[in-house]
Amino acid sequence: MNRRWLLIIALIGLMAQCGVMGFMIIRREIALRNGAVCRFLTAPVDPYDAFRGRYVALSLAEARSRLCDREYLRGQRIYAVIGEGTNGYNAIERLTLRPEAGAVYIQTRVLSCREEYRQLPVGTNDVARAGRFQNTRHVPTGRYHVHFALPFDRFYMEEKLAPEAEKAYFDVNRRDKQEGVAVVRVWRGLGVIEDIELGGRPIRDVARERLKR
Amino acid sequence: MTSGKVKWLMREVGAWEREGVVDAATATRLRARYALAAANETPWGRIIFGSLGALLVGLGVIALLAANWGDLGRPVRTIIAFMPLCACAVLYVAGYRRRWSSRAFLEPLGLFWGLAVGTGIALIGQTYHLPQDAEAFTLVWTLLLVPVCYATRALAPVAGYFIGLLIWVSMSQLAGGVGLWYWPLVAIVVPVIYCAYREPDAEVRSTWMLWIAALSCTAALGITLEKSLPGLWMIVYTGAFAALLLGGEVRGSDERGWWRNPLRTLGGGGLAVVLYLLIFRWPWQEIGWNHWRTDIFCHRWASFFDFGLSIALPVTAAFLLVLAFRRVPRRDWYGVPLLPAWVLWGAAPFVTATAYALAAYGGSDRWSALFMTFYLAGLGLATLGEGLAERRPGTINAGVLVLLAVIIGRFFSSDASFTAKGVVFIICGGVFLAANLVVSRRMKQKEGAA
Repeated sequence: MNRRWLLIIALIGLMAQCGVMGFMIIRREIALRNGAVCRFLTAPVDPYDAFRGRYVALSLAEARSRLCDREYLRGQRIYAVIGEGTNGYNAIERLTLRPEAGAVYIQTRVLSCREEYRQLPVGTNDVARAGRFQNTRHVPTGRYHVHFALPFDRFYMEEKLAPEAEKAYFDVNRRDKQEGVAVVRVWRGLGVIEDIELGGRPIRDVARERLKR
Repeated sequence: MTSGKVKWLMREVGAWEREGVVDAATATRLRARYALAAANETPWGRIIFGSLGALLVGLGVIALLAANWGDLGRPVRTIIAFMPLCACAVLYVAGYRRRWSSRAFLEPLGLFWGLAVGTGIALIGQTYHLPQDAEAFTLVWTLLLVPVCYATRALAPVAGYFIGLLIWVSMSQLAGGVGLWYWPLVAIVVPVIYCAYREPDAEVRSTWMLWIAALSCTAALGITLEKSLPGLWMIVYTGAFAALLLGGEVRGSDERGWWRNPLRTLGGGGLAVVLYLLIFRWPWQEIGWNHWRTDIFCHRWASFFDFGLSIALPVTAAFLLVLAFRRVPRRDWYGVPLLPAWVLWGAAPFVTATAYALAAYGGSDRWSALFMTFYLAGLGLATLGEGLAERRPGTINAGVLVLLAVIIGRFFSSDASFTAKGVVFIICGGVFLAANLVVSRRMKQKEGAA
């Protein structure tokens, strides 16, 4: 391979590398600017990533499993439609195979799908009336437990702030049961975390205050 | 040729000239030729220290960015994410314009460039709070190493590419995915290794690349198998190792030594290890169609990859066996034609397939294990015999080692008394020492006669 070809390969490679990184950035910037604001209840704890540093791990109160009328394949792409919850926070309403026009949804994948079974007693009517069941059998209900991933599990913070954020969360929660809230922007199936709030204030500010004290 | 050898040769050429062995013109031509070889020699010290420097700088940048400078804001952090890559671009173009083609420049650059890509992606992940997805992170980073491999042809990015793919395919399979994409992705960088292999001054680099590629592909073979049909891995692995061993024999690169011929070494060593495992009963239990795997992680269509390999690899081994056999000179012992030991080693996939059929359809793991024990013991004897006939201590030791492994392995799993075990071990050790002694004496006698 001559030098000119190597240079061309290197330049194309650099463009590809910058292009991939640029694409990742642009999509998220658009989501942060134009996305619908959704708020999910969460509990932050403080772990560590060797490459990306300290972060608070988010444990969303929102269940990541839904009971559906149809079976999904493992790894299948699905859309979690977000609706209004009962307490002013958002919740996953239903799962769909295709994005619904006008709905706010997050693109995700099926982690597992298990058929739901109901226990039925085995015996005659007399046995049932007497309440003396020896055995039960399991009958499929025709519904499925679909477990899926939500793409908000980390909120990166400065290495000194992250442990303070976790302590602040536990303090606030113990004192007056205030929950952490993940503020997420959702745009065309892509969800990007905008901020984490603790008692209505950004978690960074709360952690900074604790650090100063 | 190393600088030490060139210096020795220069001294010798001076002596030859003084003694009249070569004339002045020939001596001058020899000096000019080996002066050029010394000039082209790879500066390993500079490469190693340069690469270490690049590694430390790259890791330092990662650690600095991992500290998470929250006050900088998204736009500044985005620019910072691109800065290591831009530094690589500037260095590469500067190197191109000033014609820096030395490995001492390209090897550290390749290493730093590879780290710069990972740093950039990690910083974007940190800025936009991307979810934990180590599988996607590893795959994106690894694929973005491809242009680095081609542009620098350095060892570090090629090694990083193979290791990254192996990590990715392991995570993918553990999560219940299909890892078959590994093989087309590996094929993308094969031309880089081939180009390095063809370069006249890249023997060490290409050997390292081949070792890394061969080792990671061997590991990935087991990971990417769907394993729907229990036990099929035995035929696949013996087929793969036999093909590697026989491929080395076909190339006839015996004189290059075991380290310089990774495929042959890995083929022989891997075959010995797999065959050793097969002398025990546990691999033969619950295998065959009666134990077909049907859990939720099983992808039925991916099983065809396993079946394809279990046919293709033994067929390749058979083809190479015929090809290699036609090249070797015929030998006989008192009129009985003698086969080279590697012919018997190369037949391993077919012997394993026979034992597999025995266990799968006969239902007895005992007979298959016994069959493989006799086969491996026969291989040890054949290798020992060949070593004795050709007076090669390395081959003799390999043969004795295989025999010893079979005896020790079978003996440890037997219920024999410790006295019996002790006696057998002493006898085996004695045979080992005696064989070495006999060959050493014969070789000394031969050298003395010469």
